[in-house]
Amino acid sequence: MRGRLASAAGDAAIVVAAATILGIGGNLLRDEPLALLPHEPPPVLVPCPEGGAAEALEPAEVRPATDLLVDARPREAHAAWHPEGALSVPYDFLDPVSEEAVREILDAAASGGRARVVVYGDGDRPDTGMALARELAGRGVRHVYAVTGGAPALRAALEGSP
Amino acid sequence: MTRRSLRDAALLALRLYLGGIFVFASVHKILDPASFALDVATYGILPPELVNLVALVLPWVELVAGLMLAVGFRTAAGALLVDGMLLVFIAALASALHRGVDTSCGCFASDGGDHPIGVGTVLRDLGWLALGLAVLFLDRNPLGVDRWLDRRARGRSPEVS
Repeated sequence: MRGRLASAAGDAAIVVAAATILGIGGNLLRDEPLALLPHEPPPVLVPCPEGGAAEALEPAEVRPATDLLVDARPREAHAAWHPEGALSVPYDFLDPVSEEAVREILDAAASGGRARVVVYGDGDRPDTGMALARELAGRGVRHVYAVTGGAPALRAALEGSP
Repeated sequence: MTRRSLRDAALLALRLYLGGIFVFASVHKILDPASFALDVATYGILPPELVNLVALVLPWVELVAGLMLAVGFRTAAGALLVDGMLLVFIAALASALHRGVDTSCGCFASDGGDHPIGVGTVLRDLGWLALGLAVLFLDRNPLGVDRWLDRRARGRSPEVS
């Protein structure tokens, strides 16, 4: 039995060597080959099994230090008030979010080591924050939440006013 | 049908099942290594420098090992590779579950049709590992290319008087 296993291990090593050559060789023939030794982690972009599901988050549960905050309101409203570090991604119900905006969110989440993407909107019905959060989840962004009540509720929670 | 031929048939069915799974699992990873690299990275186990290399090489190991099991060529080596990969997969899944990583398995598809990982995924892989170990330790004279080559070699060997 030991001899059989030793022989099998030798054959297995040959297979792994051949697979390495096939994998790397095949990659070189691709139009856009993968970098063999990337020095940066890939963005946290993986298929979302739930398919576009975003959870509601109470304003008191928002953690600005560890969450990536995304402002779905128009730029003027963002300029008037926003928590420090919040990204401005104005949401339009008629236009899809651009690839650049999705990429910016993913890069910011990855580089800042943020555990959650927390979106807040105007707090109206329908809420732009929840709409943007759902779109981001459907586009492959994971761990997306929408602040219940939007910017007014978030501001009250962060600044301690009623 | 003799007891031996029944055993041969059962082990052949096992090998075809396991081999088929690994061949099927390898195809989308070979065709779309970038998506598989993301799945590998999401587990958060490998350093970033190794993610793409593993994503490029592992699917080919799966393909070749699966084919070896299915056709019965160097069957023990194929079973050893499959068992080794399953051990690694089980360890990775258990680690991800322990850390609360919420991700799809990345086992069969990266297009959202794959299921999120869970205890069921670990149990499934443990079941496949048991089948792989059965092939490795019980299938001494596998029905397939190995047996054909063995008979051919014996037919050619000079008779001892």
